[in-house]
Amino acid sequence: MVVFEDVTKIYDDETVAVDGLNLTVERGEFMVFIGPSGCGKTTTLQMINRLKEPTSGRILVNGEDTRDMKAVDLRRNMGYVIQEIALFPHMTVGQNISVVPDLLGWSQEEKLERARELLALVDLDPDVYMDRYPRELSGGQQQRIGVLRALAVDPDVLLMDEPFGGLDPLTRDQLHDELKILQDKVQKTIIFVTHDMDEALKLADRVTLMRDGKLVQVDSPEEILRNPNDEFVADFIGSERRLISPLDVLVREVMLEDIPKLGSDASLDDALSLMQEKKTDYIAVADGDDFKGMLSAHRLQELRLDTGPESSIGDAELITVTVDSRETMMTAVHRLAETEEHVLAVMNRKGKLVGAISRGWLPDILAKELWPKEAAGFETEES
Amino acid sequence: MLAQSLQSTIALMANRTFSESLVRFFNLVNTRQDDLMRALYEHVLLVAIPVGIAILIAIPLGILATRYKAVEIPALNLASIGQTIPSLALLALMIPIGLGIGRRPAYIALLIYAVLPILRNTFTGIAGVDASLKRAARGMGMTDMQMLRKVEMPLAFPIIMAGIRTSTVMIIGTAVLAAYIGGGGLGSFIVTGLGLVRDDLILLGAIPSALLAIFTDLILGRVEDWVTPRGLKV
Ligand SMILES: Nc1ncnc2c1ncn2[C@@H]1O[C@H](COP(=O)(O)OP(=O)(O)O)[C@@H](O)[C@H]1O
Ligand SMILES: [Mg+2]
Repeated sequence: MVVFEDVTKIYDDETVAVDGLNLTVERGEFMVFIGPSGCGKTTTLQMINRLKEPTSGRILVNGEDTRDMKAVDLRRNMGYVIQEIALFPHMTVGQNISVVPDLLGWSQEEKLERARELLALVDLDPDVYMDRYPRELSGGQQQRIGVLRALAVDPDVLLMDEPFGGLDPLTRDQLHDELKILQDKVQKTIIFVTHDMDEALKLADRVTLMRDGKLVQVDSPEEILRNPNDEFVADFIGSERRLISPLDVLVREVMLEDIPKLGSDASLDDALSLMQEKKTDYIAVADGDDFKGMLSAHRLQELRLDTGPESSIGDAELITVTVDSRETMMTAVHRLAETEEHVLAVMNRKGKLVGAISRGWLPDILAKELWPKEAAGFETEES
Repeated sequence: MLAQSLQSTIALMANRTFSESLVRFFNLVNTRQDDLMRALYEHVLLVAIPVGIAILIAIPLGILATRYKAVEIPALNLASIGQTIPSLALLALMIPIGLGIGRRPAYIALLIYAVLPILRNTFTGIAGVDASLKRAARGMGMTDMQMLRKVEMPLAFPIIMAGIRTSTVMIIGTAVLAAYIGGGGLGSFIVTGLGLVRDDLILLGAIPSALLAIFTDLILGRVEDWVTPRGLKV
C-alpha cells in the first residue's frame, strides 16, 4: 500500500511539479497515473522510491514513512521500470535480472534459479536467453527483461514510468496482455505512469488523472469514461473513447428530440404528409397530453394498404413500446430488436414523451454522434 | 646551437643515401648492443613511471570530477594547461624551477604531460554513461560506489583505456626530449648524434623509439579491445 499525504514537490527553479497530493493506492491495486506531459507524473513516481524527495508532506509504503527508511533499502524492495528500459549493456540477461539479488547478497545458485523462474514466467526459454546480451534482444524482449529485473526479489510495489512508451504498438499491446496475466499471478501494487489513455483504460484498476501537479479525478476506468469530472478530463479521454461502447450511452444523450405529433383523429394521409414534411419515419400520436403511441412509416405503409389512406389513425394499432430516457442505448437497441418494432417512444421520469429512438436512424447516430471520424483521439504527448 | 647542428646534419645527410645510413645503423646496433639495451630500458622507465603515476592520479581525479563540480573545473583546466605547454619547454622549465637535471625532473615533466588524456577520458567515459542507466541503477538501490563499480567503470573502461593508450604513445615520443635535461633514454643517442653529426647515432635513437611507439600502440589497442565488455561488442 502506498499513501501520499499532502505531498508537494517544488523544484529549485520554483516549478511546482506536484501540488498537495493526497492519495491511497491499495495493496495489489493496479493504479495508472495519467495526464499531459509535464503534469508531474514522473516526479510523483520518483518520490515514492526517493529518487526525488518531497518538499513537504510524506509518503507511506506499507504504513512506514519512506523518510524513515534507508533510500537504498527502500529501492531494493521496490521494482522500478522506465521507458528507456536501461538494461545494463555489459551484463547478460541473467546478470541484469540478478542485479538486485546481487545487491542483497544472494548466492550464485539462488540468483540463477530465480532468473530461470522469472524468464519462464514470460515464456522466454532460459537456456536460450539467460546468457544473451541486451543488444541481442528485440525492444519488446528487452522490456520484458526490464520487468523481470524489477520483480527479481518479489517486491510488494512496482513502479513503472511509461514502460512501454518506446515500443511499437503491436509489441506494446502484447506486453499489456502479458502484464495483465503477470499481475494476476504476482498481485503486486503497481503504480504505472503513462500519457496514453488506451493503455490506462486497458490496464488500470483505477486511473489517477493529473493536471498541473494536482489530482483531477481518481476513478475506475469505467467511471472515468462514463462520468468525467470536468471538461479537461472529457477532452483528455477524447470523445471517441468516452463512448467506447456506444451502447453505454444514455438514451437521452442521443435520442431524437424532434417528434412530429398528430391527434388520433387525423387520417393516414395526414400522417404520411407530416412524415414527408419532417423527414422522419415516425410520428407520435397524442390527444393533447394523452400519448397514444407511435406510428412508424413501416406500419403506416401496411395500414394504408389494409384500410385505405383516408381512414383515421385512431383505428390503427400503435406502437406502445417505450424506453426510459435514463436507460442506456444498449437497453433501447435490445428493446427494438426484441419487440421487432421500428421505433421506441422515450419517456422521462414523469412518464412524459420526450423523444424517440428509431431503427432507421441508428446508422446515422452511430456515424455522427458515437463514432465520429473527426475524433482524432489523444495520440501525442503534446496534444 | 641546435639549429646549427641540425643544419649541418641535414647537409651531410643529403650527400648520402638512406640505405647507406641504414647499413651504418645496423652495424651500430651490433657494436653498441649494451648501450642500446640500457637506453631502451631507461626509455621504458621514462614512459612507465610517469604514465603509471598519471593513471593513479588521473582515474580517481576523473571520477571525483564526475561527482563534484568543484573538482571538475579546476582539474580539467589545469590538465589542459599542462598539455598546452610545448613539451620541450616543459622539460626545460624543470631546471629554473629548481628541480635541476636528470631523471627525476624528466619524470615529473612527463607526468604532467601524461595526466590529461587519461583524466579527460576518465571524465568523459563516466560522465558519458547513459543517464537512464544511472537512474535505473540508483532506482534499483545501488549505492554510489556500487554504481561506479558495477555500471560506470565497466562501461567507461574502454574509453579510459584509450586515454591510457594515447597518453603512453605520446609519452614515448615526448620522452625522447628528456635527454636534453639529462633524463637518459633513447633520446640521448639522438642528442649526441645531432651534436656529432652522426646519422647512424640519430637512427639508433629514432628507429627503436619509433618501433617502441608502434608496438605499444598495437598492444594497448588489443588491451582496449579486451577490456571492452562483450555486451558492447555483439
Ligand atoms: N529536475 C527538475 N528541475 C526542475 N524542474 C523539473 C525537474 N524535473 C521535472 N521538472 C518540471 O516539473 C514538472 C513535472 O515534470 P514531470 O514530473 O517529469 O512530468 P511528467 O512525468 O508528467 O511529464 C514539469 O514542469 C517539469 O518541467
Ligand atoms: Mg514523465
